[in-house]
Amino acid sequence: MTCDVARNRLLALPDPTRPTDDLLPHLGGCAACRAVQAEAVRLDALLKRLPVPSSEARKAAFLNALDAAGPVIRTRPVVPSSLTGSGAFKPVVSWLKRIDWKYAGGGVAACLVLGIGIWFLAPKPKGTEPEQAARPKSERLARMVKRTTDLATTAHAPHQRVGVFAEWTADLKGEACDVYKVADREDMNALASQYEKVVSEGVVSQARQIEAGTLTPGERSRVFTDAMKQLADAETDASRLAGEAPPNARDALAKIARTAQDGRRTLAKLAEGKQ
Amino acid sequence: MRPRPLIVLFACAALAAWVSAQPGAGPTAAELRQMLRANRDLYDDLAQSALAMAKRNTSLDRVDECRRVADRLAREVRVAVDAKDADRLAEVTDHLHAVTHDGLAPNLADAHQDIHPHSPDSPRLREVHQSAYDSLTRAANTVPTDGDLATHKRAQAAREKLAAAAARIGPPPAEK
Repeated sequence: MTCDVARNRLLALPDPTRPTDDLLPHLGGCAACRAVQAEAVRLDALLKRLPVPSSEARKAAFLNALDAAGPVIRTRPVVPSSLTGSGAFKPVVSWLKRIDWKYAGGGVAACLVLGIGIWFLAPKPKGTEPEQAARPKSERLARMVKRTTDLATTAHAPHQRVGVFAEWTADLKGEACDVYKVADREDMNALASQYEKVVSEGVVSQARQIEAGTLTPGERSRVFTDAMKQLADAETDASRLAGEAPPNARDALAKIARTAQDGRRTLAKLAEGKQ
Repeated sequence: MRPRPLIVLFACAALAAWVSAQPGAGPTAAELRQMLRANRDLYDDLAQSALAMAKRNTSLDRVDECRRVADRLAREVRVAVDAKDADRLAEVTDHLHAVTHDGLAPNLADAHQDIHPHSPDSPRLREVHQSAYDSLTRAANTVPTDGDLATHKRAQAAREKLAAAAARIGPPPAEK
């Protein structure tokens, strides 16, 4: 092996401190080549200490070369939609584009955790327990109270009271229809008895007290028609449900249907002036 | 940025608005049964009072009937307090307040206007008025100011409402 070949091989080595086996005999006998190897080792160590040069200039030069070759797509194309294409949301879309969603999401999560933490740690007002959701109230009870005050203040004439009591019967019928599947026999019978009482002592009794001449024929007809309609609806609904109701509710619903039918027939006769 | 996130955002907002605009679901069958159980006697007494009210043709008689209704509701107030049931207390207090405000007070005003202080009905009017005022005051005092029930906001509101109802009619005017 000549000195030139040996030195070329030395320079091509990735690590000059580790010469290949075929170089070792030449290096062992040639002091000049060992000096070259030592120099290569020293240069290698010096090179490692040098800072890595920035690639920006090279990258810019590369891009300029690409530009010179033709158009370059720098951003992803956006397909116009009805929202973004209209222009109405352009400022919002532009603002949203600038957001780094990774950080925004992290920020929202952090705020959430912070807020929950503050809520838990914040001192609660003393003297009151946290309120639970209120139980549902009986709307029918509220309407019954309202009708009682109506009777006390505004419904002083018999024809007005007929309307109030007819609505009362509609409420009782509604209650019976709502609960007939779950209420026990005693509850259902109590509702049927109340229904009977309000029809006979309320609707029919007040209808009897409507004196001739106090209302125009049209007004009188409307009072009776409205009340009879309420009773007819009750008759229909209660009859239908009585057929499919459990045994504990069947009798009560049948009683409501019978009461409604009797009341409606009596009102029909009163409306015709037959009673 | 693609429009998809925007559309999803608007869809979620619209869905949330729609859901929040929905009326709350009505009471369940079990809750209706429970309400019927709790109110059955009250329904009956109110129906009796309503039928009686329809037979009253003077303001004094109507005051007396309203007082009976108020007494009945005051009894429910006491039952709710004994049971430490803030929801029931709030419910019956609302009704008692309504009866006082819309039935008792206007008829009392009419009765005091209609009945001369020296008329035979005057002592009865005073007696009914005093009885109604006492009943409302007692109901307000029934709601405790300390203890478990007192810590509920609804119970606190009920106590204030009952006191307001008593103040609405006040005691009978002094005899001249």
